[in-house]
Amino acid sequence: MKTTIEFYGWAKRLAKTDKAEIDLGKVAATLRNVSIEVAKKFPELLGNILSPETFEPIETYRYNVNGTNTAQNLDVYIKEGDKILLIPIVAGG
Amino acid sequence: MFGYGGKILYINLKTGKTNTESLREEFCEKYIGGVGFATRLLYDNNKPMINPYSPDNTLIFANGPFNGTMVPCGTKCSVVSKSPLTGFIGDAVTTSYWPRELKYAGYDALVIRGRADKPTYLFIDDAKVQLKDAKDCWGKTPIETENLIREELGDNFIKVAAIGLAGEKLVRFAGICSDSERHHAGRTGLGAVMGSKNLKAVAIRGSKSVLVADLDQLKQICYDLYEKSQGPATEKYRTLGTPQNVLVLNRLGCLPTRNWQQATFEGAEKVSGESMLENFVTDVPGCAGCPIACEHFCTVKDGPYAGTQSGSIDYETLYALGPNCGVDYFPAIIKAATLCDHYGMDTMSTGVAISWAMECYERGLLTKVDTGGLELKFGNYEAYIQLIDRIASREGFGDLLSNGIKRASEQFGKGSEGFAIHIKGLELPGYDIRSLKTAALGWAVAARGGCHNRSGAYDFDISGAVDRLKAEKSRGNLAMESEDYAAIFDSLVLCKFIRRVFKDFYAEASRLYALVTGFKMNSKELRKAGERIINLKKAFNIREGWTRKDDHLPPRVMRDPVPAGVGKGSLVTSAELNLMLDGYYEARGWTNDGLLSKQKLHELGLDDISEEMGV
Repeated sequence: MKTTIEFYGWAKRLAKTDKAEIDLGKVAATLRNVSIEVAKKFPELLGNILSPETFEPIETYRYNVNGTNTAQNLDVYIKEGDKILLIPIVAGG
Repeated sequence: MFGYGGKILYINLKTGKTNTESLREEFCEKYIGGVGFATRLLYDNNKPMINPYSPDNTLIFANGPFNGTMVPCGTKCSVVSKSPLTGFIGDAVTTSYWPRELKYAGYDALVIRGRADKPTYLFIDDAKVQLKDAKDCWGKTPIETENLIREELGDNFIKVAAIGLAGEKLVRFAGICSDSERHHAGRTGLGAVMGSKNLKAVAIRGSKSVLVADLDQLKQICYDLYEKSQGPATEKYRTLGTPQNVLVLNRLGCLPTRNWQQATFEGAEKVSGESMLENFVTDVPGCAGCPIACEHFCTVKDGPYAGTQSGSIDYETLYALGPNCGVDYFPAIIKAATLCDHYGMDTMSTGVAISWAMECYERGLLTKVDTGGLELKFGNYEAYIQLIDRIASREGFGDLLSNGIKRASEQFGKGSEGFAIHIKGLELPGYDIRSLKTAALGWAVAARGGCHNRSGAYDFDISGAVDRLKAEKSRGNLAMESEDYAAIFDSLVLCKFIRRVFKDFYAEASRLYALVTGFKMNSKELRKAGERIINLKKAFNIREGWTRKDDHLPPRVMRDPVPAGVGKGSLVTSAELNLMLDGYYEARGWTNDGLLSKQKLHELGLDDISEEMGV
């Protein structure tokens, strides 16, 4: 299964791109599988935005699926064609 | 006293009389400082139902206990009065060198009453307080005023807070500018209150030190906070700044565009934080005592606005003067923001007022004859730049807008009230709350009107703590939690940009409070103080005639679904709002009409208010 990851804010600067295709190589995958693949492809994110141990984002970042559902944990299954966003939690000024 | 200056300074502009009152320990512990102090002082010093432009309307500046100490991000102060924009409590926070100088002069709060007979400025030189002639400053920008006052007083280090033309002309969303127009008490029209008092500026020179109760322990904690303030929790503010929000909110379908007709903007990339940083940012300084440094000063290098240099461009300014007016030309946004600063005018209210006028124009409700020749189409930045001049000077069509969008739409009619984007008269910030339903509740109930700084309830929606498209009664608890939390930040007074540096905010902040002041305070008591302050703000509003119908949402939010993007089809129905309001009032221990219960007021130690209005 392939999916698209979009990067925002610091994640975009670290990844040096705003989006990428991730090949998960299997039919059923969770956000954690996505995060592991993202970390392999963009190691600059590890230790900055993604935990090297759990691959979970730091407190100020979240994975979001298709712009609607922001995930509270990474054990959420995704579907073929889902767009995954790595977003900062926004706040104004 | 430790932490506090120990004195409240009262000034009557009519008589020139001043007096000071010593701060009481009980008052400190109950109201903390900042907006807590100022709200209590306003409640006690204002008569009910007075005209905001009456000499009897009290204008209060109040510091918190952290200002002047080593606690990072603590150099802010609260400014409070009855708002000429909303008719309820007007409350804004400003920051940095001017508030700190007030503390250095020995004062925790200034309470200003009366009206001077002629343009005047106030000079506070430690214990010496003088009213001085401001005729040479009248009509000048805040920065020109600062320079004139410094020249007259022969001291370039005097700190000045001043109004611009908008405040003098009683534009109902005029603000108060300080530190060379870098910092603003921007919202709810407090600059117009100052203008109504013929008070052009407050200049301060302070020479006192601020002592803390336990320096050694405070040092250790503050060093840790300084170090964490350089980490991931504040990365956004230090790099792209709050304009980072543009692309995120656009992707989530929450970026209000063309007066909230859409929630996505095709020009988002052009007005993004990334574009700003690459093309326009020339300096990223910080406030006094701030290790984060979030201000993004911009310079326009070429084109029709070449040479324009702005103060910090933040997300709310960018939304209001950019996508919300259909403008994707960044130099025009910088120019517009700079004009607002020179006039001393809230960029958010200005942008939302103009976007309402643009929608009126595009719907054919306004013509060029009405607008004095301006073709007010969305995206026409040349027209909106001219309109800003006319709003500040109340010239022609600008006069209508200068009263704020609530009054303007009610006066203009023709159905335009249906797309006037305000809550309680305060023009809204840049988050489309049709698909952020906890935020919709938070803004509906906020005492100063719809505002992201008094209710950060969007955090729950955007972080995924709740389903942002769903309304539930339980959102009332979240809205309450968010408001109380904001009230403590605005009372200590701490910048909210440091909030994610704390792991357990109430525990850490109460510890800081105790180390600074020497007063015992635990996390439960601090949390309770936040609740007390919110109840007090509400009490002020009730005294000014608040009823449940004032906790409303703009008609567009409840009637027009988001037309496209991720949030397509979203709106907040009347039933959803009522459900969430019921939940909020219940969580607060208020009546179903949103009135304050005797039991709750007694529990919060507000017995005098319980006597007066408890039900």
